[in-house]
Amino acid sequence: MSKAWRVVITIVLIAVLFATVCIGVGLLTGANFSRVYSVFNSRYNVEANYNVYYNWLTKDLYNWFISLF
Amino acid sequence: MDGINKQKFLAELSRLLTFMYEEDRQDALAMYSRMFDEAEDEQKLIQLLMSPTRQAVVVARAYDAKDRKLQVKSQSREDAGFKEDGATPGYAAAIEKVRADAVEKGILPAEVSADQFSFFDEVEEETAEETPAPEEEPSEAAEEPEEIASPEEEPEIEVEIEELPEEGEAPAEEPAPEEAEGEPVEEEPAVEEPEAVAEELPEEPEAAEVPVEEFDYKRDILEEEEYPEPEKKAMLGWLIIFVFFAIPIGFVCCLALIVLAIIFLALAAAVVAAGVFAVKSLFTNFSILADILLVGGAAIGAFALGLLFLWTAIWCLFGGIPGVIRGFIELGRSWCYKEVAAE
Repeated sequence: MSKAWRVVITIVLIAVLFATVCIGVGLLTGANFSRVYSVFNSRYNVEANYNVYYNWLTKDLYNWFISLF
Repeated sequence: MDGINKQKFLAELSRLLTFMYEEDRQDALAMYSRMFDEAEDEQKLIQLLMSPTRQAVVVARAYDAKDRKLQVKSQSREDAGFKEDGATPGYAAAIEKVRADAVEKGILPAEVSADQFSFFDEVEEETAEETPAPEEEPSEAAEEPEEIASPEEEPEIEVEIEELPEEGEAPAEEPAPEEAEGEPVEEEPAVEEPEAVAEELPEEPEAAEVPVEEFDYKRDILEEEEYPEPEKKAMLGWLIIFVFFAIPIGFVCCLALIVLAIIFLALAAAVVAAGVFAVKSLFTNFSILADILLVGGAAIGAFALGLLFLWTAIWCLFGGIPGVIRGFIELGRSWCYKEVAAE
């Protein structure tokens, strides 16, 4: 099990390092977070989905939990 | 132990003590021989000693490890280059302890008279002065050490045992015929000839092989008899209390681990799903290279995080829960069982 942990941690660290390099290079070459967010929002309707899940967690699920007692 | 007598006992003991230096072995055998002579009832003493093997173990335990005859060729301490420091050796103290035990149980007299000591000290002198008849016995012993153990007349025992180790172990062809001829043995040759044999011993390969086998045999005895496996006995009261508390606590721990695993699985699924969506939109929705690099980097990070969460969930299920169960079992074993020396 400890050997598997070592393998997983190694893979994760290498991936995180690679991701950091990619994000760093992207930011250095003119990437913009608000532009990326707007693209995702228009493609996947992120804001609406976020509100749906937020309401489900804070209202519906919460009320169901309270009703148990 | 039926049918064993002093001679058999000492012959067997002599065979088992070959890991000792010649002087020490003779010393030990002489001490046991003396004990037998002092004993009012020989069978009672044998019952106390239990077996030659047991006594060999007693001596072996007390025999200083650094004194062991590691070099097979060195039959005596002089050969091995040892210098005696004059202190009482450990094995002698152990045998004295056995003797004290016998005295305590009334098998041996409380104090040995001076006559008895002088009798044994002067054994060699007496044998040299007496008729040649007793001298014939050692010559037979020289040829076959096992046969020495056959019942003989009591007064001859000391002579046999004193000379047995010297002649029985080495192929002592030379001194035996001289003694067998029945000539009265003078004091000086009787001492010198065995030494001469002992000097020749290291050069003979046959003599070197025998102690190795004997030593291995002794080690086997130690493994079997010296370190018996302790038995574990359950303390029922503690065990019931432990089980009463351990099962609910263990159940709660396992449940917590299962919930934790589910949470980690959900997180892993969410993060990996986010990464998949990011990759899907990478080349269709983004046209600027900087944005592609940024989203690609984030997707790789999401996959890495997803892998970490997934593995944590797997560890909780397949490593954590069995670990908790094992831990409770070990805890119960250490708290509710006590070790009892095996009989």
